[in-house]
Amino acid sequence: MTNHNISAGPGGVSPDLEQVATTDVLHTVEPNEPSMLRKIASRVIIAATLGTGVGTALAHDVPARAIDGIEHLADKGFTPKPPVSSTTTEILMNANDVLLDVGPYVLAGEVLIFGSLLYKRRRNQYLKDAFKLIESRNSGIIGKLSPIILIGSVAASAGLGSTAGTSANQPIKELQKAIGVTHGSPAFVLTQHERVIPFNHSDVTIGDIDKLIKAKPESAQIVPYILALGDINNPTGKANPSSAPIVALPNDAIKKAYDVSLPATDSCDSLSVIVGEQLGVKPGSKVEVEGVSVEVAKTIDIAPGLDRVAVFGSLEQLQECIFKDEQYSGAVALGFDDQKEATAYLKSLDVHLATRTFAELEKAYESFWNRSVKPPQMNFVMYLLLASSIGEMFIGATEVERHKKIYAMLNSQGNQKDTFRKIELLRTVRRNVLAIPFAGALTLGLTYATNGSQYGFREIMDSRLMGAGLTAMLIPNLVGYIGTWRTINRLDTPTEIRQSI
Amino acid sequence: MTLRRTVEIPEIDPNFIIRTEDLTVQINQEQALRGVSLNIDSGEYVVIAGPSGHGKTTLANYILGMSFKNKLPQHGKVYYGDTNIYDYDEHVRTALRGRYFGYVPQGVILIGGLTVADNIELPANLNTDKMVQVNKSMVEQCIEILGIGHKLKRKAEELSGGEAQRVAIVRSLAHNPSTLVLDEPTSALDDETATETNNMLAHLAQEIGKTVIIISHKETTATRTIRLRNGIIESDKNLHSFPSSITLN
Repeated sequence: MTNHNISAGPGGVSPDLEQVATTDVLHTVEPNEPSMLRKIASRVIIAATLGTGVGTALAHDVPARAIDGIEHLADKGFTPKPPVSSTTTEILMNANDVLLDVGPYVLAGEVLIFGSLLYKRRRNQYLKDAFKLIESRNSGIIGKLSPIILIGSVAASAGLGSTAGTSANQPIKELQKAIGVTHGSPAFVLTQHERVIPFNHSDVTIGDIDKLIKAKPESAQIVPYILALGDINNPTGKANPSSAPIVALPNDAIKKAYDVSLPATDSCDSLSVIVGEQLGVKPGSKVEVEGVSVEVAKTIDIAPGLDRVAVFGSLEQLQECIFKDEQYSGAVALGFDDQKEATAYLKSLDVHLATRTFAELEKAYESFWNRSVKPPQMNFVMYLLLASSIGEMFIGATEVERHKKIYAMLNSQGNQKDTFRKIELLRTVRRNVLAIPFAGALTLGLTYATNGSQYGFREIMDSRLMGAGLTAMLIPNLVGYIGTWRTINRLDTPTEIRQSI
Repeated sequence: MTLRRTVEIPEIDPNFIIRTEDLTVQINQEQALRGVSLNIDSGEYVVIAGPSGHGKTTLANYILGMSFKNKLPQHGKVYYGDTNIYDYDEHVRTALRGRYFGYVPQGVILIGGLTVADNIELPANLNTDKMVQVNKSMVEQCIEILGIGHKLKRKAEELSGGEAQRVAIVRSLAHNPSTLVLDEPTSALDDETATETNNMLAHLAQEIGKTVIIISHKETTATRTIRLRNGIIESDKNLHSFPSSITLN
């Protein structure tokens, strides 16, 4: 102690300040008081009970067997609007789209807010001290992991759902390209019924299509095709998706589109196909399609989103050796002026076929895949949100309990409760933003883990996914923050301080 | 529309007289204060004494505008000058406390993970009231007097109890308030440091003109001692001058 102008009083000697007194008046608060733990435990139990009830009610009619449904429907030959999703699921699916649409704005908003706060912090004492206070409070491992797990998992899940829907159209787009259908040109898909989605071993009869082809309409052209799911196997062992769309087109269409001739052959031992380069094979190598060994005539870039390569082959070859007596999936009618004319022509020939535009077909495919893949995906997201909301309530309760004595002390010094609410909000935003890089890594990891599985997908990381995760995180954030808000409102400063004695 | 709260904080002369009128407070079915009426002039050095559990801390809390379980006094008023603070809501009372008071509670709460220097300045820096600013020269003087200059860069959790108590005293003075309320400020200090601290508080009252109110369960030298028993003022004695033990050199 240095000299100053006040007498030291009786005794007059400055004490050894290093050895002074007890330490029990110094409080750096930890949540280890039984009453606090009881409080937290009771809140968690209430939250878990409520959450599980609501979650189970919501998830009740989300069919977990949706994936099985795909195989079942595929085997049936054609696919009416698939009844695999419930109203709840449809709402959740729409919510998934909202997450992806709103996500980038939320991401940009949170990063901007946090960035501007960091910028202001350099020159604003209030923010400097608010950050100091937050950074001095260690949120613990659960607090750190919670946003990483939620943001990362929702991002991966939203990406899978989105990719499933949008990439399902890749074979249809490639089919149009192969047949030479340009955007906006009048081309119609002929199907058995206007509501069906030709998918696997379609029920469109060969007789009807053959009747059309033989009729040789003057200005129109009828191109039959088969579009089916089948097994493809790469004997080299690299990238072996178990099923792939197989598109069979007349050889002249294949030759025109891909500059490869795949003529009819007497032997099923000398088949050739065009496969997606994603399979990792080179022209000249052998792969198995539906158990039949075929040579790769060419590779093309197709279906980059879905982790299934598509196979394109000659209708003449594949009908003979792979699909055997199967019927066409449908046919493409080119050269009609409009749908009305095409439909009238079909009627005049007395064939029972419906016409659909490619746009309608694409929409139907997208809808089918959305409804098939998104239900389990949204089921997963829903439970994740539930778990995170409960977790956030727990974290919020724990954190604010830990901070209560500090807030009481600050309040006794004249700091307003508004300030504590702002600090808790800042802490939440900071926690989310700091979680983004780790959540990104988790998203990549989860995507990699699902990539290559039967219904796995390859997706590209983008801001939409992180934004979707952050947007989803807002829900548990809000749940947690409401609890924090209430605790601060009820802060009883004298009692908290008295308990520190 | 603005979300920011705009509440008028009443302007008060910092050299205000603290006055309680028939202050009656009930906590948990017990009468903690029973019609306490007193005046504390600006610059007074007052000890509120009495046995534990007889209402000293409650009186200090209600003078500071803090209420147990957010319950207002059952009866009576607390004036800063002419302003009855319980005519205003909690937000205003908190603002007035931040502006005009320094408070050292009995249980010292420092923020772990922060340095001593940060702990001292943080409450004033976090205060959104522009009238509340850290007074560097006041902080430096107090740090020197209380001998914690060499601890400023240490983390709060590295301090002993006595050091923590001295940090809390400096913290209460950081914004140079006109009135200090200290609840058992020397309870964790050894006799010599306690005397040193008392001398500093006397200096603040006598030389700088601050009002100093000390809550203590044991006899402490001051210019005035108010004894509380069962929530009632038992005695109120004026010494009229600073006792010799705290006479300045």
